[in-house]
Amino acid sequence: MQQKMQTALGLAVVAAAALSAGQAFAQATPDPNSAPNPYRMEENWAKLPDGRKLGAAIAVEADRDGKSIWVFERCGANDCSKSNLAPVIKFDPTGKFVTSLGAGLVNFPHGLAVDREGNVWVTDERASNGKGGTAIKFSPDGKVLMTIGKPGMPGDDEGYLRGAADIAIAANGDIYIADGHGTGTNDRIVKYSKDGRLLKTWGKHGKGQGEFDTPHGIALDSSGRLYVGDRVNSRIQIFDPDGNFIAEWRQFGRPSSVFIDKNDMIYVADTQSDEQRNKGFKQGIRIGSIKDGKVTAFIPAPSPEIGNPESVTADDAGVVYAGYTTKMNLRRFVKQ
Amino acid sequence: MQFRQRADLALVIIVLLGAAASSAEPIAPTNSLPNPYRAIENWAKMPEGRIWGAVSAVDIDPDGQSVWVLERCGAQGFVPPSQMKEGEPFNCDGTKLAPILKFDAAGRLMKGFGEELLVFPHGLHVDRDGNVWVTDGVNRATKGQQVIKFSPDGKVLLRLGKAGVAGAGKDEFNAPSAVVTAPNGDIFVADGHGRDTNARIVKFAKDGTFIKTWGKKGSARGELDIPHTIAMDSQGRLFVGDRNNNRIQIFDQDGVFLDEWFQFSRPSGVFIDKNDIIYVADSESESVATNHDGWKRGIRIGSATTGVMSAFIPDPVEKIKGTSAAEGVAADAAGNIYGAEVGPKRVMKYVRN
Repeated sequence: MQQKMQTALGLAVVAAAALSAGQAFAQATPDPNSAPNPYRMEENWAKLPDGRKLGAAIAVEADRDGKSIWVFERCGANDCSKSNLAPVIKFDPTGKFVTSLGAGLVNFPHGLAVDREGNVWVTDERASNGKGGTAIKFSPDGKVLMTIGKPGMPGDDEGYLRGAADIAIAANGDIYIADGHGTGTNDRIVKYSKDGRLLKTWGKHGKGQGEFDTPHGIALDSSGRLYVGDRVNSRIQIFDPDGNFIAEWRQFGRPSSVFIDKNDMIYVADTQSDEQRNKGFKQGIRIGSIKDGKVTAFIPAPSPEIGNPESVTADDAGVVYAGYTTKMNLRRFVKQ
Repeated sequence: MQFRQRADLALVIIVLLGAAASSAEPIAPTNSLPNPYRAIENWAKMPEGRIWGAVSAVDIDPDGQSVWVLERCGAQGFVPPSQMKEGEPFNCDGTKLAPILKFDAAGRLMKGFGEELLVFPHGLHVDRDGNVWVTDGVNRATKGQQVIKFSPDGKVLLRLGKAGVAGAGKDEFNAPSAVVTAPNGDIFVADGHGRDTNARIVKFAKDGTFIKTWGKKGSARGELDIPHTIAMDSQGRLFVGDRNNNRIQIFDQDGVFLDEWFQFSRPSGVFIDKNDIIYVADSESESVATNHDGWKRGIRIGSATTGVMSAFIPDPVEKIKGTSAAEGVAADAAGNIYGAEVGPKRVMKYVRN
């Protein structure tokens, strides 16, 4: 009973926050790029094993220890379909290589999540040549524990995925997959139980509430609400665990990646905003609290040469980690 | 009573019309009907990296619009297994590909299954409950010569025939070409594909219990020479595409001969929709067939009640040695037609102009 009331209260707070943030954004924050940048960029943080170079780092996520970092990179290039390299790599807080996994199982790395038991979940956006197009659960030492979707066989029906962009695991083990990545793929969220049973599917291609156009990144807050980076629609949509629409946020830009830490701070990487696609917004990482939905920090891309990260996470100490795809890099940002 | 009289009258009319439309003697080719359809190629899309092999059969989901396709796992030609090296893939055998594919009306792949279960997928039937029935016409090692019933999500629910064994017993097939089910669940298998294989219809109960069989190789009424396809109309009559006899034979569900029709040409595929419109695919006249010159390949459309034809979609290819045009055919609830092509390795869609 008490829990129920708390949840209801939580929902009301988020709804109110969404409203106030929207208003605040419209009235008091004409420039969506004006939040301060209190971070200093650190290069060459991660050290790969000898002979291995980093490819497109499409996903980064802090381990459950709160300090190690998992990276999902495209096998030293921008494609794993013909590679035997392990695309999921774990680094310790000093950037030292710890382990890697997933060799030969993935075509095109895309999303990554770490659950409370330390298992690593990834999504492979592309089904081709009898593999890929799946979500895979790995034990921390790389054993395949579960596969969702059919390797090599994209689809819309129950049990199939098409263009799975990202994945998030709830506290109770429920699995959320953002299933879609643009033209010809799906545009939906699929929810599975811990043991791999399909619980719910929602969303279709479109611009309305509960519709998607490239659901590129997803994350869960401490109350179990789902934040979907609905990239081509330049918004985050917030849902309850049953898929009921709660709010949409545009103040965090055009989201490629969404991460929410244990304190409900939200980190959003924007790699696509420009005058055509999301007028007024600059690319970079926007940070705020989900409690009020306000952007309190903005890490802009310092130069075209350095580029702009497509994936973002943060450790328990608040250090921000970013993965770069076109520039194939990993950097971190430490508070000054 | 009144109804019964009317029904009797209707039967008389049907019999008369049927007699008028058909003839025991071969008739003049029916090539000159209007074609109110245009063709859409490359309608269905395979996953990246997968190429189309021979497509022998197509059927429509109970939703009236999704399309089920039977595809031979990328097979580009037919070399008999006896002439192949051991371990070399033969059609689906030796591959990990799914031969049973479901597409939505726009040609998006919805799902696929049946991996590593079939050798030479041939006939496809989707029943009223959405279960998918497939015949497997060639045996290799411990697979093939079976009819398999799959649930809509690909679980094997029933197997008929002995896996890997060709035969003529009650629980055996030899090159089963096609399967259809009745509203009460009875199963009818068109068992045989020419040469030394069988030439019969085998009837089973819903649970797979053998009921009866009829037909033997020959050209008389009730005899068969390549029973390549089988369909059922709304009255429950069975339409058997008796391919090498260049005719359709119509039977009741006890195997009693009712009629034979020549006007629909050499049938590789027969499909009957809910309104008893019949679609017949000829993929062999003036190509593989040597006994049907003057007839054009293509899809003939007409009434399964009267046998009167209304349209013909001709194969744009004139003369060719191999199979060409649709071998399997189906039409969705909106009347769009799908042709499964073995030679050209594709599924064509035909929509009204």
